Amino acid sequence: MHFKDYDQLINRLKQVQPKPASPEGLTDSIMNSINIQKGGKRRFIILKANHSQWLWFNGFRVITSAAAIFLIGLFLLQQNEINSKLSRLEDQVARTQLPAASDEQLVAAEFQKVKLFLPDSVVNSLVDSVQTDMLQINRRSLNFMLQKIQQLENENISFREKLQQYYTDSTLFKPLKEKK
Amino acid sequence: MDQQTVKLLISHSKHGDTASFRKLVEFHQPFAYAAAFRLLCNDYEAEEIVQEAFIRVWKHLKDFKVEMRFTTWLYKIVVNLCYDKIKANKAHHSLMQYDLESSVILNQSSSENIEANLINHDLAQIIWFFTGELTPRQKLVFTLTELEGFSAEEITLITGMSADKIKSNLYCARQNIKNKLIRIEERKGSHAF
Repeated sequence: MHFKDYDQLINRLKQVQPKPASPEGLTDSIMNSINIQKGGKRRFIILKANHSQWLWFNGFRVITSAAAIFLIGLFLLQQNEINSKLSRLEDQVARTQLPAASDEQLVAAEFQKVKLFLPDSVVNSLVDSVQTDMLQINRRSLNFMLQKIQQLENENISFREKLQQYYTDSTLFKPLKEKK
Repeated sequence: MDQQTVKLLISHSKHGDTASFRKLVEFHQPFAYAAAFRLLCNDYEAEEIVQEAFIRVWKHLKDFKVEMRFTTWLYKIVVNLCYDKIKANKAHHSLMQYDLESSVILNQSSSENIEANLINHDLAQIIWFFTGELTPRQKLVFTLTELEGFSAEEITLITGMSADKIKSNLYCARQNIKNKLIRIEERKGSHAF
């Protein structure tokens, strides 16, 4: 049954010969195309014009590609520079953002800001001087100071209170306390 | 037109005689168009392919071997162009499948046979309906064997496919079309209820 239907279908499809809407028109268009192909001079001119255009296009493409690569490189370089600066600033902010910043810490923060714009050699020498925490005093002044302390000890019973007016620093206060 | 006349016209055309080539075009154009139309199921595309094929023939006429039949050579060019076109159109045409199936079923149920549909546009619809699901190779072999009436040797010359490949592709194509016919019968039966 199905075989018969298949054969019937094929036979009927074979019987009908598809034809173009206008066979003459199709032949004419084929011959026109061939005549255009045959005209060597005209073809040469068209090809030459196209060739130049493509050359110009290729040149333009090379220039724009090179410019694009250069710009991308520059962008990456800038990006890298910005990233390194940002990471440095981030470190500095993390150090300075301490709770209840004291005068010392504020000075340190200021110092960090200054440090950013100074060369490394200057920064290192400054850091050394800060870390040693040294107080320079000449001998004459030291003698004068020691003399005054002795005087206070001898004359005044409440010298400790007076001393506290001079020395608020706890590190200086401790040895005196122990002395007592 | 006998082979001697064809050879004479080719010989003249090789020397740039467009009048001789026009005669060749006029004689072979209907066959080329029929093959292209059956493969592509589109008159505009078929005309385009025929035009392109004859331009290629004109360009490569000097390469044509006299021992080969001109029709085989022409079919080879047409079929190659159509094959590329089918592959390119495959995705687009698959969208049409459902609508065509419905229209064929309706037409069949109204006229009880497909004879009335075999005119112009309907022919394309019917061929496309039955061959639309085939792969480009299956469609090529089916059209050349069943509709154009070529032998396996001729198809080998035209497509370059081996005899085994032609057989297997033809078998698959036939099975696919027979399954479609069965499906149509079943749907017709369900419509009747």
